Amino acid sequence: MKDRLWRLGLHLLTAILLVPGVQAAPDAGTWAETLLQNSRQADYNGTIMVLQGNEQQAYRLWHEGGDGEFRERMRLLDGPEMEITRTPDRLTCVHAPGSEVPAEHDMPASPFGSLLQIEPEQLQKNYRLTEEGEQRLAGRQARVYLLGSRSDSPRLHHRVWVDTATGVALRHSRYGHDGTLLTDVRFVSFEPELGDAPAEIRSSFPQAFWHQFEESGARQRAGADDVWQLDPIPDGFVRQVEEEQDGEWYQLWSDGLVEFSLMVEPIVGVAPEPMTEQRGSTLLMSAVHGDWLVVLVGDVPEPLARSILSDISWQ
Amino acid sequence: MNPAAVTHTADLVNSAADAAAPAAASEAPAVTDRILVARVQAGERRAFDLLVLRYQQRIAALAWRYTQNSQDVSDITQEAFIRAYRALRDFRGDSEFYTWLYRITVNVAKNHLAAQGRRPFTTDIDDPTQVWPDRMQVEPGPAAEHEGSELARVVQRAFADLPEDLREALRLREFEGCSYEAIADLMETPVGTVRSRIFRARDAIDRRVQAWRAGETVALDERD
Amino acid sequence: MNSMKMTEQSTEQRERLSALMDDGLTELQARQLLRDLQESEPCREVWQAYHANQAALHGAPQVDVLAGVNAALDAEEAKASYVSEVRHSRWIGFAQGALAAGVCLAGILALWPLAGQSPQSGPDTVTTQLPPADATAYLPRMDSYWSRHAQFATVRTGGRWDETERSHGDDHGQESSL
Repeated sequence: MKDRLWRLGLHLLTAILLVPGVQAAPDAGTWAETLLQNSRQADYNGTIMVLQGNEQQAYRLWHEGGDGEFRERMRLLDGPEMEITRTPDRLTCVHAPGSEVPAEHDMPASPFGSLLQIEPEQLQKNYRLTEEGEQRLAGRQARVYLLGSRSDSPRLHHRVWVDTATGVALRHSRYGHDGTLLTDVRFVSFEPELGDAPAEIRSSFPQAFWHQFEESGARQRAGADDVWQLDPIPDGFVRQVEEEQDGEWYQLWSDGLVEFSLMVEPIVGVAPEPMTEQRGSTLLMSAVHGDWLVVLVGDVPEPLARSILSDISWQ
Repeated sequence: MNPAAVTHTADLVNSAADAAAPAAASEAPAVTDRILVARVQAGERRAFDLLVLRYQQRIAALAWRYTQNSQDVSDITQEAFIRAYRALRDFRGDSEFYTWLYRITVNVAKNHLAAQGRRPFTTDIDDPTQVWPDRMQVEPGPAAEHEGSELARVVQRAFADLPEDLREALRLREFEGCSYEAIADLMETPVGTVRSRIFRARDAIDRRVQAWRAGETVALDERD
Repeated sequence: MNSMKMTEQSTEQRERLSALMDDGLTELQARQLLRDLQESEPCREVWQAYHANQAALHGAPQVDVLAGVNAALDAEEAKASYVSEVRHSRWIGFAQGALAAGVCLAGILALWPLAGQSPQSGPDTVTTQLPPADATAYLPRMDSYWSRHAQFATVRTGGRWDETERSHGDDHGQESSL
């Protein structure tokens, strides 16, 4: 019954999202390769608004492309003064003197982060790409694409606006399986050049406090399969990362466009209440399996999260 | 204790000992507080209950003077005790517990009002030695519409009806802040008798309160 | 106030309670009576009544915040207990607070070994509890899981972000990686 309702919802959503003039798009894999290449290699700058649930955050972004490399500066326009510089494998947070800096702080995510992590091959396998026509966005002409999952199980839907002149992603909206807008990342101004990129971070924030992060490989790969398994694996998802230490596991699963983390750890003391928390399109859901706490975090709708947490089997 | 603190009840009682130099309650070694604080610091949460029961009314009286609002009084009192509990592990006993708690309450009250863009009704209350606030109003009126004003009327009537030796012992204790020893000197009676008189006075008041709570209010109303 | 309970306390006990209010007992007597107070509900009720009457005598407002205080402290302790447990988990990062809403998600992890805990689970004993549909309250203790997810989910090649360096004392103003 639930499955039928879900299918009906999916069809309705598709009907709502598909506007007249919809036409066949290039295959999703090629489209994704091109989008990635352009969004990484072009020079551009602009102001980005991120809407996540009820939270909004504005950034100023300068992106300097390169052959296989890119360099990016991002300045937070709301809240504490902070700048972030990033290359594909290094990221530095620089806090302005006198700004509010927690003693230990988190790694910032890139506004278009998930879009720039696309795996074209997987995307092609798991998503249908539909072109919805053109729209004017941030003073630019943009082509609008809808990415819908090929799976019958509930998934988020994605709409991507691509600058027709440069091929750079201008907007990425994520919708719930019922069509609700959950996360919206968009340029509100965009220039296809570096513009007034600050010459040095130092010049912006003398005597700043900074943290640097670098990309590294997963530390250990060890078999959760001997203890627990996700079975069946949700359609299209592939395990990207598995770490284990002292009987606790971390796994990252991806379908080429979205990821979810599974964290399994022993419960010490009183078992916590299972709970859910939503931040924009990203959901956190926990479940108690006997003496184990299983936590899922990812861009998956609640029905799928429940299904995944229920589908963990123990050896 | 500020003598002004007794103005509203002094008329009801015989203030024979005005000339005496009472030992303020706050000057007596606060054995009870010291024991309870040590127990809380050792991890006995139940001991903190007793500190709450012991001081919640005084803290409420202090909060009332800031806000003149029953809901604020309750919120401030509760928050003051929560903060005190959190900070108690670092309390070293350099001051009396009540003095320390008083300061916490003043800060909580100020923050509470500031958060609402309000100003305190009274600013001149930074005196922790003044255990009970002065000029607490018990007559019905806009400024006295707080929880317990009816109880106050019952208790004060019961106090006024006490036999004189009991009433005087309790008055010296409650309104003059005299120690048992000072009261014994003033009343020219042994300390044990003072202790007994104060107890009997409290017990008699409590019996009147229980009767009032049980609905036996007719006799009281008739007196009015 | 339950008058039956009141009368259950002997006159002698109530007199000692009255004296305790005024610090009129020896330390030994006070210690014993306070122990009784901690353990005996009727005894506590007398103590509470005497203090309420005392406040009324002074015309002070009547409050009873004990239940509220205890509820708040219980909640804090439950949370602290959970956080303490989670701190033993290797999944928690030292990043506990979001720097800016919507931006900072991934914790930078220091791995702590689990202190010898290994719950016993077997196929016969595992029962699954999922959250109720309305269990959506924000729980700060979950920040470490959010951080963990972002630490991995934003790496394309199946790796992770780790903090490798930070400014120290007088060497602020480091060159960025650009």
